[in-house]
Amino acid sequence: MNLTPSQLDILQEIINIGVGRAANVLNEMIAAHIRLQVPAIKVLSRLDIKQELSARLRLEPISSVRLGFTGTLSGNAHLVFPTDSASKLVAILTDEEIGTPDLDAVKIGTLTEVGNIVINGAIGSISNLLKQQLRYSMPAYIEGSIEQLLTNGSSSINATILLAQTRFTIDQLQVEGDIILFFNLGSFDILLTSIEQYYGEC
Amino acid sequence: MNDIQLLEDKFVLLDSIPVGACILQEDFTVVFWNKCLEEWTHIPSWEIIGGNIGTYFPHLMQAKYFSRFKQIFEGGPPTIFSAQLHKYIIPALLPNQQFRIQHATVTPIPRLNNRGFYALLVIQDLTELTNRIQDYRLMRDQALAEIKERRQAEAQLQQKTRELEQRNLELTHLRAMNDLLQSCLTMKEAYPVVSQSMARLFPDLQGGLFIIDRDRQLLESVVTWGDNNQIKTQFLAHECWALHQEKAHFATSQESSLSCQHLHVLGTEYGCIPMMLHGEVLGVLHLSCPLAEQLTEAQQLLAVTVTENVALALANLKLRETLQYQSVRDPLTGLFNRRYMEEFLNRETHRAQQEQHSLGIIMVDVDRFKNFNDAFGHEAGDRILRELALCLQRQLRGLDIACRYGGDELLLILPETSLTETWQRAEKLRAEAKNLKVWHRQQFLGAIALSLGVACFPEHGLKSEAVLRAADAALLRAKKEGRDRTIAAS
Repeated sequence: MNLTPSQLDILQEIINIGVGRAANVLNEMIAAHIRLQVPAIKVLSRLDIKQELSARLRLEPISSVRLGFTGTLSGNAHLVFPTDSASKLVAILTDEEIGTPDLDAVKIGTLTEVGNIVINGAIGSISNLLKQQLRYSMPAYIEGSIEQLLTNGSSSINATILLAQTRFTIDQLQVEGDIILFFNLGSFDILLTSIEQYYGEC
Repeated sequence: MNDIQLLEDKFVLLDSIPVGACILQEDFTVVFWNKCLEEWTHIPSWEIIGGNIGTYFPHLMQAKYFSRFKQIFEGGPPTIFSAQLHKYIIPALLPNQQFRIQHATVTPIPRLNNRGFYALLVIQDLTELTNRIQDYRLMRDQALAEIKERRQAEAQLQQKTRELEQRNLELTHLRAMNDLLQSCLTMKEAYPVVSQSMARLFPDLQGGLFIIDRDRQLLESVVTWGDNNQIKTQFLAHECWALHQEKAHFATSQESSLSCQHLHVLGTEYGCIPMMLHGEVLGVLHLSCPLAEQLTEAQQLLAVTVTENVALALANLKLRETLQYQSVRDPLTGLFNRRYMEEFLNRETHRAQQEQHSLGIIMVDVDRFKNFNDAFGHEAGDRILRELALCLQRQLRGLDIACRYGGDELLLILPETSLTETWQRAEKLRAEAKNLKVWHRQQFLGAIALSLGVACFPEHGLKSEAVLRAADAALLRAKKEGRDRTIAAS
C-alpha cells in the first residue's frame, strides 16, 4: 500500500492533533510539562512491521496497551512503550524514583491509563476525520511478541499497519522516551477516501 | 415512567455486582448509583440520583476529569482512571479511616433515545491488591538489601582472606630472607639475598639498597632489583628526605609530598626507608614504582618492616666483619697479627709440601729503630712502622701476606716463591724503603734502612718453625754483617 506524500502529510497531521490532545491531558495530570513530538508516520505491511520494530524493542515479549474498534473502520490500536521509557514515565507520573523496570499490577494500571490517553487522542482524531462513530473494546494491557500482538483479533495477513512513532520529553526532569503507536487496519480504503475528502475541503 | 426509573430497571443488575457502578448524564447528573457505591460512600441512591456529582465530589469538575468525560459523552473510546494516578475517583472511607484505592473504567453507553451517550463508571476496589503489592515490594526490598549486605560481607571476607594470604606469603618470604641473612658471613654475601627477597616481596616495584660511606656523606648502591632506570647509583645523604628526617619517606599519588633530589624521574610513587640501628645510619632502602597507586599502605608498612630486618642483619654482619678484622689484624699497622701469621704459615707449608712447590719468607727489621724512638718519640716510631707496612702491602702479589711479627720486626710470606725470587723481592723492598720519606710533626725522620733475612721451604726446613728460625738467623747475620742488607739462610 503506497500513499502519496500529501496523503501521508494529512495522516501525520491527524495523528499529531490526537497526540497533542493526549499531551494536554497528560499535562493536566502531572506538574511537569510533557512534550510529545510530531509523530513519524509509516504505512507498512505486516511482514515489514516486525523488522521495523525489533530494532527499537529488541527483546520479546513487548508490553502493549490495546484498543479494538469496529464500525466504518475496523482494527486495533497498540501503544508500545519500550521498557526503559515505560519505567521512566510511570516514575514521573507517580512522582516516584526511577527504579526497577519491573511492572506490578498497580504500575500496569498506570501504564494502561497512559496508553489509553494517547490512543484515545489519536483514535478520536481519526474518528473525527471519518465523521463516523466507532465502537470500541475495553482498553487492555497485553504482553506478547509483535507477531502475537498483530494476530490478536481478526486481522488478516494482508492487513495494513499504520505506524506512528513519537518521543516524549519532560524538560524540567531531563527525561525523554519513545512511544510507538500502531494501527492494525483491515482495510485502508475508507481512511483514504476520508483523507481525500478532507484534502478536498482544505 | 421517567428516564431515571427506566434506567434503574435497565441497570438493576449492577446492584448485584461487587464493584462500584454509577451512570452520569452529560450535565454530570447522577442517573444511577449502585448498591456497592451506597455501601462505600454511605450516600443512598435516592439521595444522589438526580443530583450533580460535582456537589458531592467537587474534584471531578477539575479539567483533568472533565475533558476526558466529555469525550465519553461524545461516544469516544473507554477511558481509564488508574489507581496509582487517581487513588480514588469516588472517595470512600474504609473502617480503618483510609480511603479505598480505586481503578475506574468509564465507558459510553447510548442514551435511551439514542441521542448522545451516558458515562458508565465501573470502579474496582484495589486497596487489598495495592497493600499486598506494597507488602511484597517491602519484602522484596528487604530481601534485596539483605542479599546486598550479605554479598558485601562476603566480598569483605574474601578481601580479608586475600589480605591474610598475602600477609602470610610476605611473612614466609620475610622469614626466608632472615634465615638466609643469618647464614651470611659478610655484608657482600648479604646484598644478593636482599635483592632476591625484595623482588619476591614487591614483584611490581623496583628498588635498590644503598650503603653509606665512612664519612656519612655518600650513599652508594650495592644492589638493585627490578627495572632501575630511574635510580642513581650514588647520591649524597642530604639529597634524601628519609635521611634528613631519619624516618621512612613515601611519596604516593594519594598523598602529595616532597620528592627527594636523588630521583631521576619525578612524578612516580616511591619510598626511601633509612636503615638505622642504635641511632646510626647504615644506608637507605629505596623502592619505586612506575605506575600510580601501587605503593599501598600495606606495602609501605611491609617495606618498613623488611628494612628493619635488613638493617639488623647488615649491622650484625658489619660488627662481625669488624671483629673478624680485629682478631687477625695488628691494630697499629693494619697488617696481619702473629697469631694469624702462624696459622697461615702452617697452612701454606702444608700445602707447599702437598703440591711440591717452595715458599719464601722475608723477615724485615728497621735498622736502628730505637734511635728513631729516642730522637723523635714513640709516635714517630709508630709512624715509621705504619709507613713501612703500607710499603710492604704495595709489594704483595697473589697469595702473599704481610704480618707484624713483633716489635719492629715485620714478616712477608710468599707462597709458591723460590729462594732466588724471595731474595730478589727482599732486595726490592730494601730499595723501596730507602725511598720512603717519612715526616712526623713537620719533621723529616730521615732515611729508613732495612735488614732482611730470607729463608725458604723446603730448603731451610720442612716445618714452618724451622723455616722461621732460619729466616730469623739470616736476619741476625744481616745485622751483624753491618745492617742494610739481605742475607739468605744457609
